[in-house]
Amino acid sequence: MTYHDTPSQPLPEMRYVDASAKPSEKHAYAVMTVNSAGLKSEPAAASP
Amino acid sequence: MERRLPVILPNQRRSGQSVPDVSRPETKLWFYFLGASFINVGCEAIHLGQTELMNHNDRNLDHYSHVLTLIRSYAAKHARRHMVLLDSHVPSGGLVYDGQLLMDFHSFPLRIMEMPDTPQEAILKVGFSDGIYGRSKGGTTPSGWKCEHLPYLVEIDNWGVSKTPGQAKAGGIWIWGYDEITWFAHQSQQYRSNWLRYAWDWVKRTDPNGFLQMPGSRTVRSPRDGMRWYYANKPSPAVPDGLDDEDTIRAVWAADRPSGSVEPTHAGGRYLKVDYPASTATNELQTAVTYTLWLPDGAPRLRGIIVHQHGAGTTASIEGSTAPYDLHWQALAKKWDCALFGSSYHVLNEKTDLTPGGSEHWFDPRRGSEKTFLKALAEFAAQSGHPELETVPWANSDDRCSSP
Repeated sequence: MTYHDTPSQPLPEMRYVDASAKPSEKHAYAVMTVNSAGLKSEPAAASP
Repeated sequence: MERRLPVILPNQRRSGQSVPDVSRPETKLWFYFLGASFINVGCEAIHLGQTELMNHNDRNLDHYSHVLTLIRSYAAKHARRHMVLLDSHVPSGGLVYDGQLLMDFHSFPLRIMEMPDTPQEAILKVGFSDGIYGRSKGGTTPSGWKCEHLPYLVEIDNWGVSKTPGQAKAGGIWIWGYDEITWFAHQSQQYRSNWLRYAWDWVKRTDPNGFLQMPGSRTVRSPRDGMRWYYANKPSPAVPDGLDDEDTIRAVWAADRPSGSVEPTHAGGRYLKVDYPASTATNELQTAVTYTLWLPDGAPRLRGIIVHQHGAGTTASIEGSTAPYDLHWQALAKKWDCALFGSSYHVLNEKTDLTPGGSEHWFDPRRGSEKTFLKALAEFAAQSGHPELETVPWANSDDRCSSP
């Protein structure tokens, strides 16, 4: 927990690699945020 | 490990003294015994000293390879993490046996060069004496990975005192007549603080494989005032002679952390960064600073700069270093075609006054931070291809401080 309005280190990498994805199938992904208190947002609209 | 051994060689550097001969079975047994003993008490890294003084009868490194393999084999069975890290001083750049590096990392003195025309001043310079910069040999490491140049530590070393302590031009590698640590210990705290920052940055910029080993506790030789030991500790009943360099060392390490950890974040836009060392001039900023600028994609001409400023003290300084990476601030900046600017002034402590390392050195813009801020904007304008960065308005995102 920090009272500063800047991101804590180490900064997360803004990238996700789905190692289990299969070339012949469609996959859907959505972004969700979690704050430092553990509260989660609704998932953003999924994109194929 | 090189003392009190049964089989010895003349020391090539000091007449009348001797060093072990690693080619002799007794010496190897003794080295193996010492290595195993250190591992048994929990040591995970062992510095082997002047390995290149001890191998005059082992030019092919057969014997070193043999005994170090034995020590590593012992570590594989008995060490806490089933391995041990070995290093030594390597004037030649490294011990390589059939493509295999014998050390896990290299070590060498900083090789500090005195500036005879400026009392007590000294600098680092590539090519001075036998400095290791750019010369660390590569190969296959004991852990199995390969490199062109093995990473190395450079230390503020000790070896004694000349016949003219405190005076310039004693010759060789003396710094104002002293060895490196004794010269360092005789400077003011402010000078030591600035010099550690300078050395850390210089080594990092000069050779990406080099790393400054911070001084902690080391013998010094100073016949004029009787000083016998350098301690980086804060003075306390336990360490009454501490020279109080702890805060500086902590701040240098903390300030260095962001540059490694922020790189993976890529959520769009681009980042520019400039570093300025602390100036020793009274009319310039006496605090080192890192400025970072985030530029949004798709803004042909920027309309302003959101300046995110941190507060006083070391924690605020460290936290401030990540401001340009904040996604919320970036979203606001992108919406209005603005750049996002963050600063991290490398203060040394929590003081808010003008004592050494205190924050007033930067938060009073008359003391140099204004000029440094404007200089950074000019650099960012040139680097980014956005000359308007020098003239667009600023929006200060933090009202705790009035300076840039």
